[in-house]
Amino acid sequence: MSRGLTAWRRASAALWFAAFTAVASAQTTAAPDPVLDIAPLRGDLYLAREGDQSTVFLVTPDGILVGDPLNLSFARRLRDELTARFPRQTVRYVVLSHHHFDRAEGASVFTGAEIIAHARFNSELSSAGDGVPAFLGVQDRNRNRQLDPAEIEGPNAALLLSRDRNHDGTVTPGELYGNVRSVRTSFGRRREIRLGTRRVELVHPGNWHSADMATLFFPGERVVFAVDAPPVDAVPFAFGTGNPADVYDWLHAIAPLDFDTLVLENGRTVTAAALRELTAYLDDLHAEVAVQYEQWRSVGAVQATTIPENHRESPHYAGRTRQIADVYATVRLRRIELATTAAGSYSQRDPSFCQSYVVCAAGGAVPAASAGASVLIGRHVGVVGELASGQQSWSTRRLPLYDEEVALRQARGSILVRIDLARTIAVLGGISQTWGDARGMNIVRGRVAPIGGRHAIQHRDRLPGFTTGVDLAKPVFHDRAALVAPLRVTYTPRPLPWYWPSRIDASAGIGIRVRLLRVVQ
Amino acid sequence: MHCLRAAFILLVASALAACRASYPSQPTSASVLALQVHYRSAMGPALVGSGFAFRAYTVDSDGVFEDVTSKATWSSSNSGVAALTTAPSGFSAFAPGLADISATYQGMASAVTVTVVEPDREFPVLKLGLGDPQFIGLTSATFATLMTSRTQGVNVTGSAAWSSSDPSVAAVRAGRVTAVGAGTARITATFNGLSASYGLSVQP
Repeated sequence: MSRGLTAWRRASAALWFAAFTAVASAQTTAAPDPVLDIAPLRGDLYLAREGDQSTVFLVTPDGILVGDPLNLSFARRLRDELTARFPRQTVRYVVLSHHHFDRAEGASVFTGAEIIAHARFNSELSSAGDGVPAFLGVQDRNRNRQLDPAEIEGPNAALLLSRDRNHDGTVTPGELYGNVRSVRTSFGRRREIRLGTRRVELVHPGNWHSADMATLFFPGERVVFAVDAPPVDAVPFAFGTGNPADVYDWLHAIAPLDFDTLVLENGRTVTAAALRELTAYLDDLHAEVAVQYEQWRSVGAVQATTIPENHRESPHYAGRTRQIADVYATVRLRRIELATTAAGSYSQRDPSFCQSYVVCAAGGAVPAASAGASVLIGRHVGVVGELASGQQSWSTRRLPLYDEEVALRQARGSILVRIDLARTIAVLGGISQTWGDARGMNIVRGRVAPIGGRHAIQHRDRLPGFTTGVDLAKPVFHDRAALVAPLRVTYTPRPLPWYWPSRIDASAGIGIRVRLLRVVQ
Repeated sequence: MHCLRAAFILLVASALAACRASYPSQPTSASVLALQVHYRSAMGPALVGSGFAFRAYTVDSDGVFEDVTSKATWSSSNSGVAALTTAPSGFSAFAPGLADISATYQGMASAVTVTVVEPDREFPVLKLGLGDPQFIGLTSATFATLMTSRTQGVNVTGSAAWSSSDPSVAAVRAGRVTAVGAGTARITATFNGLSASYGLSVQP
């Protein structure tokens, strides 16, 4: 197949050159329509090409499905060619790869066909009138939302001038999109179209190039036709100005399809094996960059490694420095961690607690345990929910005719913002609520019962407060877990209940933090 | 690896200790130590025909009082002098003399002695104005008057010698009586060989 395609490629090169020459000459004079070249791709699937733009169509006994109809002129000639070559079949479907005028304008020519596009086609089309399309944005140098005569140059010049309907030398968005019609039939992520026994799958590959992209997959012919795809035929691969996340979405949507050949809108082809090798290469590169990123390595340090180690023989490996920089800049990390800690606490006795008592003592701490869950966004910021229980202190207060013994057990829930300053240290701060359960007894001496005598003390209260702290961590098990030493200080601003000895509570401990979930985008 | 194992053991041990933390258990209950009889109000010699009343308290090992006046059994050692006339602890004086007013409760007993005198007596006589501070920390003045006839008297409070039968209950100095602790005491004033006394109780 690849040998055949190569031969076909050579054969069409001369025609393509002729077409390019014709387009270039259109900048100065009204040139005749470029040559329309139709060649079979595989079975009943054909490639129709004009200049550096091409589309596909599938001919079946139950009708014809046409990919992008390109511009009006191309669409009319293609319609005439189809009528002449396949007089017994009609065009039943036209599938638009996206809303850009250079690909979608000709749809109106196929009046009897059902026009299908992605669900966001119409919204993208309606917003396209606001300015120059993104793929031409670089040419709008003065940002006036139209292309002035001095800005109409380069390989798109002929295409743009052909849309200058009032011949004023300026091309406006209205002129570009004036002939592009909205569609009535759309699909979301995937859709299958049946023409008799033949199937065509429409796949939305994500937001690369435009938010309404559609790719055509012909399972019977084992061909995928993709328009304005990422530069997957470039060796070594480079993300260029595109968003790596969109490239990954595109690859993960297309590479799993069961096909042999990927045909691009410029007629070039990529084998499925090459595309899958590129996908595996970029996936491994991404995974390893994410690991290094998570370990707080700088982009320079990551570039100094040899990752992706398993792909040293790949032709794309030569471009790894730039690839690493692009992936590193856009990697998004989400983590969920669970921590459990054994801690001891120290409470600073509030001066008012002992006021006027002859004997007053408070302190003591039973080892406490805490558990926390963290949701981390990237390397630096996260939200931590902590629950600490088991902290217990006692207090003794005496007057000449009064004795009191109270044990106070506390549990604390905190919502903290965690900022990782480095891989091994994080600072935290937030709000907390402390639940106190006091139990004990007092003795009122020298008085008649029931005022005098022994009285059980049992009170519960909850106090809001502020908690701040530091986490020191030592990663273990390849960053899947960490030994962590948390330090927390809680301040309670509200008036304390009479049995509550401290306003400031500090705790420190040691524990284990385990990564439950790690999502790299 | 040893570090990790030690940390894990510490973590588990601490968590278990935290789970086992308990509140202090209740101490054993206090035991009753004594029974006390208290005057309802400060009381000197009772005149024949007058009435007076008492209270009874138990005191436990915590120093806590319980009013058992209505639960105690009251009696007079000399019912010809003073006898129980109104339940639970109201007595009346019938004839001059001495009588021990007793309360009995749960095997414990306590008593105070009451002196009953005739309304008319010979002069000179030392007569007391009864200071009754009643509650701990309070002070009340007691006046000593030397009555030379039914209508004539001289204030000798400053000259008399004063004493308390139980300074831990009531202290007295120059006639000023201060309640120190719950209980019953007898305040006595002496002047030129004449003496007078009265009983008082400091309430718990």
